[in-house]
Amino acid sequence: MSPLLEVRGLNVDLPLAAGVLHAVREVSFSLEKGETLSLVGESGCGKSMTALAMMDLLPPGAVRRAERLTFEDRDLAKAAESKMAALRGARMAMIFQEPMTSLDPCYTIGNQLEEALLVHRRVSRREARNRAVFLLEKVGITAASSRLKQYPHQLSGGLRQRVMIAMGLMCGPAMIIADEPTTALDVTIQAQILALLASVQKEFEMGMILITHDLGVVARVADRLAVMYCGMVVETGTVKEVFERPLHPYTRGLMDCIPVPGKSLKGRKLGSIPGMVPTPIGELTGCPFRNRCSRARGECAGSGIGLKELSPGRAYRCLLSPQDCLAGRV
Amino acid sequence: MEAEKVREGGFEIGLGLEVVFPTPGQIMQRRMLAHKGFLIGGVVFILVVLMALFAAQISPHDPYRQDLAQRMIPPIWQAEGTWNHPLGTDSLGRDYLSRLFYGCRISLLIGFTCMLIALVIGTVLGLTAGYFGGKVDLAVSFLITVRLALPAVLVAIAVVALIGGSMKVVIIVLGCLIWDRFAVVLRSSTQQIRSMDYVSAAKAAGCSVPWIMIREIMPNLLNNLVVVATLEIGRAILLEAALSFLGMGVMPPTPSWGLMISEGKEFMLFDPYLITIPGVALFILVLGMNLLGDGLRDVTAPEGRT
Amino acid sequence: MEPPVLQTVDLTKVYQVSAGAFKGKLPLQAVGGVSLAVPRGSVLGLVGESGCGKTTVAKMVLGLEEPSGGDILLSGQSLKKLSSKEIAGRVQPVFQDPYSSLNPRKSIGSIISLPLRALGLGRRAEQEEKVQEIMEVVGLPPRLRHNYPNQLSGGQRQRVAVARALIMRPELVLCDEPTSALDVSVQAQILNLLMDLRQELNLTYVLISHDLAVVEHMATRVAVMYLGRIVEEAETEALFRNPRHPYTQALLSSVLTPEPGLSLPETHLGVAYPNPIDPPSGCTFHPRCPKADDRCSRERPRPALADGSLVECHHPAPG
Repeated sequence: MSPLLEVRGLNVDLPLAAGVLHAVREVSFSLEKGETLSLVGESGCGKSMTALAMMDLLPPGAVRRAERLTFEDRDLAKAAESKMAALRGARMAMIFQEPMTSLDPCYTIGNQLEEALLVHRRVSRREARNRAVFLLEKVGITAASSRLKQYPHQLSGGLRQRVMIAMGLMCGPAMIIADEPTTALDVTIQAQILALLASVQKEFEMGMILITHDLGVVARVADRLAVMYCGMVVETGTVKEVFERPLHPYTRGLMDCIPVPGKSLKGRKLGSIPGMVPTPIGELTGCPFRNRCSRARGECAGSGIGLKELSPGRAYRCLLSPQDCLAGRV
Repeated sequence: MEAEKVREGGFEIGLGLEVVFPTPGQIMQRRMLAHKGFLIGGVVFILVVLMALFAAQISPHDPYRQDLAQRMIPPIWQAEGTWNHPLGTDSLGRDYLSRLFYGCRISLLIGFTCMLIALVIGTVLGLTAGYFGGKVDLAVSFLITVRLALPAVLVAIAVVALIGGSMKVVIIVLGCLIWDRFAVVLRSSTQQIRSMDYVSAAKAAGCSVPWIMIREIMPNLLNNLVVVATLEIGRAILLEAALSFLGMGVMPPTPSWGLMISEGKEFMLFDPYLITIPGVALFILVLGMNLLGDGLRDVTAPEGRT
Repeated sequence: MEPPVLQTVDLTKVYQVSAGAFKGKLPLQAVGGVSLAVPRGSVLGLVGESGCGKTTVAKMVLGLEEPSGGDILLSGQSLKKLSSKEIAGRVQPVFQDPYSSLNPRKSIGSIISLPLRALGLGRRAEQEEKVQEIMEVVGLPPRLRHNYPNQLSGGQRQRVAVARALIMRPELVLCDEPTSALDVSVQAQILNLLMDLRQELNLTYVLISHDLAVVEHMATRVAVMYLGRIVEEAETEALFRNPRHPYTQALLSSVLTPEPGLSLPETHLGVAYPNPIDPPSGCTFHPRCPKADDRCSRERPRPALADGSLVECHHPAPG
């Protein structure tokens, strides 16, 4: 059975004054129905650009090239804008990071929810409203019918994000892309929203791409993950595989950086990765991580360091052998 | 401290281009050279300034010298034109080209000084209103509203009618009337900046209020200030021309472009060059100032995060 | 005995906010009676979610806002008796956003030396020297002092903010979410830097954060705030091992540790978001509290002190 979404060799280039920014370089992954894939990385690694590339919502001037980009067996790489517009919202939905700015302040919640459905389906206003109420209740908003008349500024951040999720579900999409859905929310709300996302995903059998920089979120919510650095995928695998035996030095470094209550020893320094994330402008040869990696060698500057696949879905991009990776800290 | 493997300010050679982040000055230079409106406006402005500065050298004749034997000679592109007077002469035989050049001086002088007066008034009001808020803001907003409710030209006419017209009167009156845009823009900019963390940090570092206003906030307002200033110069020039046209501005025989239009209006039907030449000059100068101001605004637009 | 570097006594702050056009103003109590003590050399972690008042407390301690009630003491001296310049020499902030906490029109050297110049300390040459010295201490190459903030990365900018805070060798450094806006790998660098400096320079910190893992790693004592009051305060280890207030328990269980195989935590908190202008009666936490009963909606709990820890609840977990 073919996967829900298949991406091979995705490239996104942004022309800037200083040169061409290769935001996404040769990224490949696939998503099955009902599965949660997480794209993990820090700022500038290209994860948001990847999501936007799939929906073709890239900023003006950006150039997208892909060897293969199919969704539900439809080829998206060459799809016209009208075809993409028909898919967005209907078959693939996106939830953005900032609930403050994702909702239009001039229209009521009900208006926006209904619009999400009416744009794609020929249904009556009443049916759209009923579906809106149904979904608002599903996302845990009480007194749903009276909420429809409210404006975004009257709701808290957590509620707004729930409304965004409901809006994404209006047409019953097959895939949801959630870009840092809980970063702007309080930590007690975060768990609730993530649990909500997981439950609707299971109920509606959707695939989900979860973009985040928070490894804690990934560990608890995702099935598989792809770690991105400087526009490239550096490690993939199931969550269990990657967390138990992280291979790529960057992944290992990231995991060392995070303080875990009860686990990281007080008074000892946190692991950290020296230096800073480079901006991928201009031609990139060799491993993008080598200037921050304590295991870097001369060969790391050479070309053609590809993804080494250990087993289906488990791969990493480093010249070191798996044993060498696992031995010793970053 | 930890060993920093990466060189600061850029990243290692071999990892793509060595990118050195430019200074704000360099960024602005680059943008300026790429912006057409800015370049056109800049060129116009520089030309006019040069004309004004060197009016004495480049004018073929004395702009005040009347020669009734040479009156009403049309400009060079008409049949009776001569190269002695490329832009013709007016009803008193004065050379139009020379009057045009000297008119630059008047226009620019009035434009600049009015703008400066307005700048001082408007900046003080806008900064204090934006920084202090509360009652100060209420008072200044009231003043701005009152000022906006007054039609500038009518007030200027009334004052000139009372005191009598001259360049000094025109400058002071106009300067005291066109500060509203400065005040409005700087007030809202100051309000935005006041909420930035670096202002809190300056307060926490022990800076006094005048220090914060002048040394921390003002430098960030300069962009907006310069943009408004260029636009106000254009506005002042036009206002002066209007006043002079109505006979309420500078007095003859000063070669103000507005006055030249006024003196030429009775001959409008048969010798339209008397009003079109100064009219076009005004148009080009003010258009150039506006392009310059718009260009400056685009060029100094706030930087996004790196 | 040495007085604590920072002590707040029943600190309160009430804002007047407009209730709508023509409706006049309503009081919003951002901070309602906060009493803290931070001994020299310690790190107090102040945690809470948005709207709990922790930033308002920070602003009052820095002297940026006037308290509506209560007092703040710096090494025993009341803030009301100190001029803003005297406060500046003793308390310095490190703010959250490295992009807005540095003046984009000033060079790095000028930014770092600002406290020295504002207080008129030393001549130009001495100030230059101090700037270079502190830049090395925080791990910035001194040649960067001629650069501008937009030429530096987020982590470097935060180091500049730390340098600016430390150049006066203040008694207390107030860190308001110092690493929230930074990448994970850079966060660790800054946190390590702060820890090292604390040892080297014997500094005292108040660390405000919503990230409990960071607080657990850095702080010696932790105070949990909810809607303007401290609901629990204890030694870090004690608080994390045995949280007694239901809100603290919910907060701690919400922390998503990177451990796969564990599912999402159940916080058992209701969705009822409190309105600070119209706070719930009795214990302000009761509408969301899984343990709330009738008494909680009527009666405000009094703070209960026991072995160095404080909890404000009618039904705290046993110590």
